[in-house]
Amino acid sequence: MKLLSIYKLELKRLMLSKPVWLVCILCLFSPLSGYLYYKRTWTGDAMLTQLYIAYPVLTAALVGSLLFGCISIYDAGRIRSYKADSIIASFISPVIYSTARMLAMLTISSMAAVICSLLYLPFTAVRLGHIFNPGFYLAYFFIFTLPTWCMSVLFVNGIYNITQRTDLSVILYALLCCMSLSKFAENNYFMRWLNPISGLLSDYFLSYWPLRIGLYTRIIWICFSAGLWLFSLMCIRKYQKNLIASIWKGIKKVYILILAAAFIVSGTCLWKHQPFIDHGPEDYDFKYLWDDYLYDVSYIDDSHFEVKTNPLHGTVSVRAEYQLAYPFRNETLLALNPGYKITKMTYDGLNVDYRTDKKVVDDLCCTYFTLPYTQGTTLVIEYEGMPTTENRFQYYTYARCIDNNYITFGEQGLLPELNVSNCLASTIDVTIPGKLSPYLNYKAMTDYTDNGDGTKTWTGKWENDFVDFTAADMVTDTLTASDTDINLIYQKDFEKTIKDYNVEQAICEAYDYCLRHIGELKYTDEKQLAFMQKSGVTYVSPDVIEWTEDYFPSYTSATNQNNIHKNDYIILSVVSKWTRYGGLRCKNEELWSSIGFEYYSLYRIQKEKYGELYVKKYYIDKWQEAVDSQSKKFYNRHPEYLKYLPERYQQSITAENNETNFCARLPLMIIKAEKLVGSEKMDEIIRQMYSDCISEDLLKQISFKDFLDYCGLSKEALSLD
Amino acid sequence: MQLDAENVTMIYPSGKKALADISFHAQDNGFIGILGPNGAGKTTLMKLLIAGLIPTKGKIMLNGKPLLSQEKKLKSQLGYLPQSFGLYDELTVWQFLDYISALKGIKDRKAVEKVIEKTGLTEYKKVRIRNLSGGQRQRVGIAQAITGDPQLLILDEPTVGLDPEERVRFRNIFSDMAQDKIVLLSTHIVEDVQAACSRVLVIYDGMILYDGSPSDLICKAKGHVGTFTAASERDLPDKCHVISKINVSDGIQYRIVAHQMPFFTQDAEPTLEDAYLYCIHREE
Repeated sequence: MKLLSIYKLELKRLMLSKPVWLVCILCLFSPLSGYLYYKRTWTGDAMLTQLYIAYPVLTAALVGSLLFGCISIYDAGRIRSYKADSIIASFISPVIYSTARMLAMLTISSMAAVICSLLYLPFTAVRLGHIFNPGFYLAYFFIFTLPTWCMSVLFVNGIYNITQRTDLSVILYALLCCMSLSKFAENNYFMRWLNPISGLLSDYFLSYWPLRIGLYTRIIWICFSAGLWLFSLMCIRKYQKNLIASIWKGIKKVYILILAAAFIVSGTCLWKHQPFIDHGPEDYDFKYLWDDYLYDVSYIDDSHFEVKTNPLHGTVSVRAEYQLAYPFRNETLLALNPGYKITKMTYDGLNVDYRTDKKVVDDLCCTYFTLPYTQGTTLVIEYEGMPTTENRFQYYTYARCIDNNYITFGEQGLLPELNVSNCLASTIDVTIPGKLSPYLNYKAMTDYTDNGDGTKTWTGKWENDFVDFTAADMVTDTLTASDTDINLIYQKDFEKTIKDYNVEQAICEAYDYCLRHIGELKYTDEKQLAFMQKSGVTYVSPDVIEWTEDYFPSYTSATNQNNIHKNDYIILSVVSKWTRYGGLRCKNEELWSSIGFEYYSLYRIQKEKYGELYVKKYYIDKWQEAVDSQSKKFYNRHPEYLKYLPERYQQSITAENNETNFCARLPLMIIKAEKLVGSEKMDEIIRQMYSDCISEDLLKQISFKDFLDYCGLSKEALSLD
Repeated sequence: MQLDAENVTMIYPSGKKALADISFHAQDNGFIGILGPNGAGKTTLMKLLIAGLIPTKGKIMLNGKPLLSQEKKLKSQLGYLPQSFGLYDELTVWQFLDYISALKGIKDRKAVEKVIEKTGLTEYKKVRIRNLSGGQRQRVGIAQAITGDPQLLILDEPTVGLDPEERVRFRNIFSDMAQDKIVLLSTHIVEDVQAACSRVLVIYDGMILYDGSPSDLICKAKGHVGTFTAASERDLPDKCHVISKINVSDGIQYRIVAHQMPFFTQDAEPTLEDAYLYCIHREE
């Protein structure tokens, strides 16, 4: 076949071409810049997979795309720039020649991606150590790098076929690249074809969600680029006709037009109906669904949920059965994660009509239905799908995750909410991969049935509205601090870190300190606290602290934000149960926050354990350094010029200042207050403030002025300047 | 192989009428020279024959079937040298011809050597094309056209830039090839046609003025070519075209063509060039 023989010839030509070799070598070096210069997030630094897989691969995708775009423009324009087109067109169809050249370049880019992935594999394996997963690494590389490089080739060839000019092609390609790099695409997974984003990776809770959404976005853009390229075949000039005449002539090859249209339409449909991110607001709008709806005075005796997970597809199917004490009188609202589709709704076996509003409010979509006002008993709702991630938190890919290694639904991610009064009791049967250990509301589930197909069905129950389900390969260590049992739940492979950093001891010591120096916690009756390791967004409640693997940044040798030392984060999270999530709540002011007390407590705990010199070296001096550095920054010395900066830079400076104020300046001020009033007096003041907040049922918030009044000090006395 | 053009008219989008209702036929073998001045329509005719243009009216047939429906077959049997062309300058002569022969699907690796030898490029085969002179580049162009021994060879002003010795050499090459192929050569240099072509097409202003043998064309010009000596240019008669003028002792000796020869001229034996000029100026 002519196309095949010319393709082989062109492939050989490209493999002997010096410019192509140069591009390939530069592409092989491109991941190196990702190790050093990729923009870092505040938590991403701590993950080895983020540092040694995500950053280099995503950088390689961007850099390689640009390089292959340039070489493709050079190669496509070569024939015209040398004016050899009149000769070559006499014995080869320009369409076949162009197609063969494009396919050859596509092959080169694919080969370069494969070689690049294998080149960095040994280094990545050594750096990641026992958490390295070669399948995940290669899948990540191939999903983000290879298609992106290929898309560049397709786009450029398509553009060149249409314009037949190198200069115009460069401009149009640059515009296409700018679209992906622009501010509008910054947080949009689906617009970023050139510089893809994948969401945070986890070292210990391996999830294929980033791969799924990555593959989905690559498929969308492959459809667009392939559609453009196919359409451009009709635009290749023949018979000295112009663009319009060439298209008109090319329309006779209807199959090309149909194929091009099919690709473009497919890409558009895939984009519009993407199942990963909801279509809620991008920013936090503080709107809660139940603000607008009244609860109906109806009761549910009990509810039972049968949940079947499909880790391969990341989906779940649920059968919810409600036993009603009284029928619902009015139109009932059922709120569900937008990713789910209701497949069936029956009331005592009879179908119920319902309508779903696709608008997303508070991470939920509403379905409305009215039950016949009869003394019925059983309402059954069946639904299935992939739970979507909230648009405003889309970077936190692990908020909802259904995979072979990790299953979690986060808040509002699994079960429906009804605008009826509390359900008295709920039970659940959930089918998950057999190797995972499930936790229902932070307690290990114990009853299960082995299904014999590699899955187990676990049974659990709870008695309030809140449900948290997590399953992973976890272990539970029970610690005792004072008279409280603390369940430390973590991923099995994380055990070494737990031991190396004395996490259990740190938790117990922090807990004891807070009990002695702040006060008793307001608990449930069970006197049990759960410290559960998760990935992504964390949650804190009276009985629970969720923590993540990036609480231990120093083990990755990453940059040390807030001068965090060793197991400081875990200590801070313990203390936060007495401050932000407990009794000692502070009003959020410019130079005042509960976080200051957390860092002050951290200082006191470490001082008790390691002594004055230790805390001076690792806390006082570091905090003072941060405060001094803040004072020297230009926009802090001249705040009048801040208004001339773009808003995002202003916000960034404000966020940086808040961090320093709450995590460095404020604890130093409290330490200064402590020096002025004495340690025992300061303990007394803190106990009093805490007690006053608790007595007013946590409605009281301490302001900076309140604190000064408690201490009997003036603002100037605590100034660090 | 049979090539037919029937009532072909070519009007460019700009409105220029390049060819007006021309017809001609070529079959099996033969060396056909296409003569015409600049802008006559020679290149347009060449492009139509290689399916590089679609005629506004009329049709072009290859072996009795429309040319455009047999593009693949045409391209597999075609050798074409355009009037204006470029080459891949960074390649050597051998690399370029090897690339072209591979693109044409020629599997015989010796074909390139043969063509290089035939076109006298042996000593330049390892020289980069950017370092060749104009004439040497022209030879490379001819070499790529004859690579693969195509059944239909269309050459648009192939001898431009070649020195007289090279022109003779290439005329002989084309003539040899025309033994069993169709060779169409367009030129405005009459010697190229005179020496080797068995058939001449004279094109002027988009029309074929003559299609036949060179000898018949010359016969047509008999009685319309003459010489005379005049004292100065002011003595030139009207409605005649000067072919040449030579300063002689008693004035200027003119050789002219005219439809009606002035009485004072002496008949001259017409050459092909005379006949060509008579042919095109007769229409005026």
